[in-house]
Amino acid sequence: MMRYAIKRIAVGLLTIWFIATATFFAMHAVPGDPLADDKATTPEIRAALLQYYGLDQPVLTQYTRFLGNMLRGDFGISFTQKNRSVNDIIRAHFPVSALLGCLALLISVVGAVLFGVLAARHHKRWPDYWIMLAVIAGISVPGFVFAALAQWLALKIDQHLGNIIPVAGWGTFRHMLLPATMLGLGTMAYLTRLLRSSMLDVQQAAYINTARAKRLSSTRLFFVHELKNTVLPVLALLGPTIATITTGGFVVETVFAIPGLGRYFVQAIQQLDYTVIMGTTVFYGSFLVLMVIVVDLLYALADPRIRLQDMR
Amino acid sequence: MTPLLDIQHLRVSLPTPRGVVQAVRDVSLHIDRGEMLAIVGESGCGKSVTAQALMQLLPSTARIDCQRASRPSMAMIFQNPMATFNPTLSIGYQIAEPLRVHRAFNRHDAETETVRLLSRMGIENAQQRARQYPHQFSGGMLQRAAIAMALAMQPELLIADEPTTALDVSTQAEVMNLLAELRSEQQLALLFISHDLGLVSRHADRVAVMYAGEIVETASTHAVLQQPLHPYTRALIASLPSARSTRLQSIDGSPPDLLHPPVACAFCERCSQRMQICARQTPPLLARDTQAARCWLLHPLAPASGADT
Amino acid sequence: MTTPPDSTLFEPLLACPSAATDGEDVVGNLWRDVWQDVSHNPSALAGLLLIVLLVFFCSLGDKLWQKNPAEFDLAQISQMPNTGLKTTVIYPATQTVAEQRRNPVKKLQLLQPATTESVQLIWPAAAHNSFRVYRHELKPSGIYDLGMPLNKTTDNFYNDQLQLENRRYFYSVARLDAHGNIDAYDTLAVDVAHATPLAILQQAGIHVTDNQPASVLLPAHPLGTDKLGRDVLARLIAGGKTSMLIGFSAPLVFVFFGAMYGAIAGYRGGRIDTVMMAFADFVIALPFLLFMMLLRIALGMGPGSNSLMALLVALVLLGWPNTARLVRAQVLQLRSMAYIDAARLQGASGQYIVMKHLLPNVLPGILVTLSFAIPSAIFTEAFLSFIGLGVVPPATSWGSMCNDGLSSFLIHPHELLFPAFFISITVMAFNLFGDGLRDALDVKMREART
Repeated sequence: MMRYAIKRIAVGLLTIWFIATATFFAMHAVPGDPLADDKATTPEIRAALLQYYGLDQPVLTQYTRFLGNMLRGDFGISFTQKNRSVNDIIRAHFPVSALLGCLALLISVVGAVLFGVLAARHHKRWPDYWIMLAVIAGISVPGFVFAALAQWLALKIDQHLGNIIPVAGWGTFRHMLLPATMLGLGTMAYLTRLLRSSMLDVQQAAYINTARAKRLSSTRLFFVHELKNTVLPVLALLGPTIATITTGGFVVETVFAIPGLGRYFVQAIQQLDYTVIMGTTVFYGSFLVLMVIVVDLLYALADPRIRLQDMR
Repeated sequence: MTPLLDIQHLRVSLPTPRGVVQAVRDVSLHIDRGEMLAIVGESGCGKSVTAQALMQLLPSTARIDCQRASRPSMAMIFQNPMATFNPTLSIGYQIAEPLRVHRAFNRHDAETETVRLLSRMGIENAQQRARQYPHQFSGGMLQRAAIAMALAMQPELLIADEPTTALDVSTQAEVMNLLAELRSEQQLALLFISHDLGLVSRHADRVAVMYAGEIVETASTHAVLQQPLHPYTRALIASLPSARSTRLQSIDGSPPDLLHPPVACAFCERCSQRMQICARQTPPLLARDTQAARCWLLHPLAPASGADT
Repeated sequence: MTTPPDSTLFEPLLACPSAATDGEDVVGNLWRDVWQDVSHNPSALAGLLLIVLLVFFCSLGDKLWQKNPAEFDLAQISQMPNTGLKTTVIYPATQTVAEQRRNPVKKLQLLQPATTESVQLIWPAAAHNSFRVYRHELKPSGIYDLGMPLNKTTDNFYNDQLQLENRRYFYSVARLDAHGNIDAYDTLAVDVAHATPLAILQQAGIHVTDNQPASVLLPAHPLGTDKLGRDVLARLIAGGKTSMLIGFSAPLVFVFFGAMYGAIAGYRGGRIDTVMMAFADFVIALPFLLFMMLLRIALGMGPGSNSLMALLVALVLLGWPNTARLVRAQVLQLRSMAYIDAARLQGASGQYIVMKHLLPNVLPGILVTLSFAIPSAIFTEAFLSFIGLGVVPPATSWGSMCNDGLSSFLIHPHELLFPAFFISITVMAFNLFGDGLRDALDVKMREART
């Protein structure tokens, strides 16, 4: 277990380094000049700006400086919003994204467990068919479509019934509910499908037959023997799920005008704000890699087959 | 003395995607206290389904008909010990579960009893072992733990569905000896299901041979081995490796499809002594002394040579 | 059980009648069986049918609907779906409003027929009151539901020219007391006719005859137009071409590459395998969409760059490892089977073994991967286009159409809904078909192994 954890963390750090390096060189490979437009009016200002952003140095020097800054957690200063550091932007807006993401994850996991179990327990009967139909729709419809449709619906509700659900913006829990649900829908569909087949597998398992031979009540059978084993393999896939929700957040935040980091990231991309793109990419990349590791380690702790691997 | 277990004319049909399988077509069984009855037959003959029907483990879609039944308290052990235990719960928890649920043991007593049961099964360091998980046990140990778990239910009858098939030969012998000890020690009746007539012949009091969802022959182990009445039983004995013959005989053909069970004798197709009637009418269970078999050869009108070869 | 009547029944029977069975071909042809399974699976069949229709739509659609997807129809900006709209031509300076306004009216009414260019309202004047004019898309239900306030005036006239569309509006004029509270109000339902100034019509290239007809027929837009007046149907066809091109070509390339990579790793084994697979695992561990964005920026953000190529390259660079893993696992499994050794012992070359033995066995798995890689590539393209990292104009795709439609979505939903519908249907069709194919192949492969 310990060795497994150390190995995972080492590979994770390597991945983060690679993400940082790739980001740096990708940004340097971008054709065109970051100061091409109106910013640099005279050669003097241009030189001053180049120096300000450190662009006058050789690439390798820039790279080592970039890595050093990253290690210290300093992501530089925004190109478009002068005097605002990338760290400030992340610090101000990431909590919003994180809150939205956590809520979406919660909604999707709870919904998926509910629907997945319901479908499996009514295998090849109507609840199963309806849920699987919804799952196909949930997997096939892009998140931004859900977001846009929900917003339109909210607007119609607003027009006809008054302000029940806010159409856009951020602030109260009421603001969060709709975007978080829309963000979670795709993931919920995906997880529902996994949980359903996982539950079907568990129901077929010999140990469930043994447990039934022990004449346990169906409640006990479900909660003690089936549920944990159903959810376990799905837990292992929560890492990629967090990645999906994080990137999905970019879009949902844009649609609902939520002041999260994702929306700023998309804005930065559209405005080619190099430092913000670099900083946010490295930040998100590291975040996702770390989340995958955390999830994997939690999974290992939850499953005795992995937890006790080294000691037999 | 009334038998411990007595079932008459058990029929089980199971719906499958391809149609309804009549897995058990007419099975009557009785077992006395402390007795060991073995059900022997090829895979797919319905012996496991019979056991699961007795334990009420079949899916709710299964149709079970039984004319007369007396059911003692039962517990069951299964073929693959590796899959018998829930991989995410400790062995001790799983053994203690019936104690706590059915016998109202408190936590401490349940733990003590679990350790006692495990030690009784010959597991060393039972206290530590109880805290371990299935993947930390070997196959033989898991099967012992499974027996402990079954005994925690205080059964009068233990159903063992091929409990040694997945084990190697020496472990197999240990488990069989353990079962024999428990039988004499606690007057525990055993319904032992196996495809291995050789293994069964060393332990069982009586044998019931199953074929295509029916019991085709039943008698004491000694009688079945010495004087098998049904051609199928004879074929099974001939296929045993023995000191007398060096050639193993296998039975040609395969059992009938129970989606469309045969209208007459199920063994007709594979039988070397089949007669006109075998393809037309189902043979009744015909008795000869204490033995009985479902075969027309035992009919008074049949050529006398049949049953004696 | 009755005793049988006669002894002849107890004579030996040589051939058992029920023993006669049909000589059924058990092995059969894998592909024929798979097709049988898929064609008996309604959802897979529906998926396949949809795929065929969509490919047909994208490849031949522009032959049937020959409209330039980049052409602006200035007379019809953000127009709802229509089959040829009749528009009133507004000729320059024909009527003077001022003289008409002198006639007093008794209630709220229109001064002249309402058009999308202007709605002119007039109502009884009151000396000491001011008025507020409201516009609502629905019938007002009460004093607090009069709709969008347009203007506050002391005059008894209002000319509304604010983003009018050819539909019904409910105009309310409220009389305000000295404190600015609503004293009384009157509501008028107004059906607004489509109208276009002559100059715009001429700009849009629509011929208006010299005899000054009151109205002309505008070109039809069966799925409406976008905010630049471009035909949505024509753009859907053009965008579909892009989406399908990316959806098919990128997976084809990376599945092929991944299969080769995995086959080599699995076939060589040993250290080469370990290193190659460690690299594949490393690529899988990268956050996919984040790297797609990064690569897309790096490969072609500048002017004149080929955005389509950048997307394809990025997809290929990140997409191959899953196939590689799958193929490697199957190659390893097959390698351990006896018949490969037998072939090798007989002196078969490595290439021969791969072509003759490995390929037919890994092909089903590859096909299933491909059938799921296609919708996921379409999905990725849509996502990137939606956040502005997709294809750049003049090229278009369903994703970038969604991006275009988002800004006006709440007013003109069709600009986003149609491309969104096409993305969803396409992805769903491939998913349904892929599910069916996988199920069929799973069953067949399992049967073949046992």
